[in-house]
Amino acid sequence: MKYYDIIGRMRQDNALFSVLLELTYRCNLDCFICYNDRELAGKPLSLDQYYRLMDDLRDMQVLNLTLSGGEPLAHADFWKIGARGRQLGFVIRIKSNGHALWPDVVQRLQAEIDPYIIEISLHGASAETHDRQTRIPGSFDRLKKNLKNMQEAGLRVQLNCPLTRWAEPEIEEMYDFADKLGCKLSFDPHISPRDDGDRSPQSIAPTDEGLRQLYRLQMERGFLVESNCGSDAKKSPAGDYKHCGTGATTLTVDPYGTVFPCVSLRRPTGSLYETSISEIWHGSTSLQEVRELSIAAAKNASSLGARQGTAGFCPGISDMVCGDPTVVHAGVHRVARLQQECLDK
Amino acid sequence: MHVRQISIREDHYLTLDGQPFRVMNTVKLHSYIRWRKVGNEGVVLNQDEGEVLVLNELGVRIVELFEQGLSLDLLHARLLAEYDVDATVLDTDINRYIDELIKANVVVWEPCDVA
Repeated sequence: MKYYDIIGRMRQDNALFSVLLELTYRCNLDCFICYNDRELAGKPLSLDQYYRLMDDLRDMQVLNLTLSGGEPLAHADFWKIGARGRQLGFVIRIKSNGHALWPDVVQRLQAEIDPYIIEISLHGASAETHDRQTRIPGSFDRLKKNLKNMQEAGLRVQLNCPLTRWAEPEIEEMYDFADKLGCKLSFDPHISPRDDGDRSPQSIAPTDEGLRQLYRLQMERGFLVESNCGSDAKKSPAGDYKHCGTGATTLTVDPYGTVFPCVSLRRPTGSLYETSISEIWHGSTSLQEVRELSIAAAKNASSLGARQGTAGFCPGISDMVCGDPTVVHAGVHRVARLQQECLDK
Repeated sequence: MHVRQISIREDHYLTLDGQPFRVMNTVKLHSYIRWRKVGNEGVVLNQDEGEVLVLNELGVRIVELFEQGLSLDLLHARLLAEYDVDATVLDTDINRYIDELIKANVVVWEPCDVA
């Protein structure tokens, strides 16, 4: 059996495989498009609770553990949590803004946590654009230095760019920037509202022309091709195919122990202050509802036709935008249309 | 007395300074290997190369036992007790599987004891 078949089967069987820990919402940058609800209050999980959680996840055969935030390195116990994750044999991914990844920190990361990959947010190819978004002067120049250090240290780095209209004139330069570093660069065309419902980040969502430019470049690079389409819903004869792994192979835990189906779908499914992750996974009725919703979402996603696999339909964003995770919202149809236009040309 | 590094499993019995001794070889997972069981199968990630490998049921059991530090002999005995299979056939299967795991950089031979 191939890896993707196994992933598909895990999704069908609701086998938890990837967990993202939002360790803290504190951050050393102040991104305009940040989706975190920094006003959210609660009692942060203790180190012991994280240890218990990771022990449980290991017993549940979870492989992927992502340390995220905010800025995960801003958590007081980041190093202990990461080291324990390594000891328990997780594939550790770190989502960071890269601002604090100095050479000595990178060296310590490799020695103590040994992450598989570090995903870094990039908001432009110039200091003017990147810093405008992060709202911290000097953040781009510092990131450039840190990325070079990471590359020299042999760390696997991926750059993620949530595409904004501020950054869209620099798409090609961002690809060049990533090429020079030998990093993969991934663009997200969908800017989501904040977790508290604030939609102001969407005011700088990319324009049609910006997206056309992105897809033209992706076609040139062979990232967007006619064949990477397809209706996943057809894969299950029983018609119970889930759109994505939300609540079926993934979970997200916020700093206060609330468990969500994934990082985007902010429907609480339980609290680690009340019950264990295993009990939530196997017994939460709201998680079961999410799995049903994911099946409905897959059926609706077929309306995207050939662009189903590339338009980036996210039930979590749909839930934010229209209150229904099964609805393919207008932003996704727009992306699908623009992609298809580029391919048709 | 100099004991050289043994890295081939066929050398179970060697002679050193005229005296026979036995090398109990074991197989270790590379430090960059991460893996989990998924049902009866296993998903292995080679962190160094970014390659993913899927193990069948026998592969999962072999990796589990090697992770516990069992020598090849003990692993063979354990699997023989667990599976209703001829010892020679099992030996062939194990050797073939280990060769595949070595080629995929999942495991490495390591002498664990000299008796």
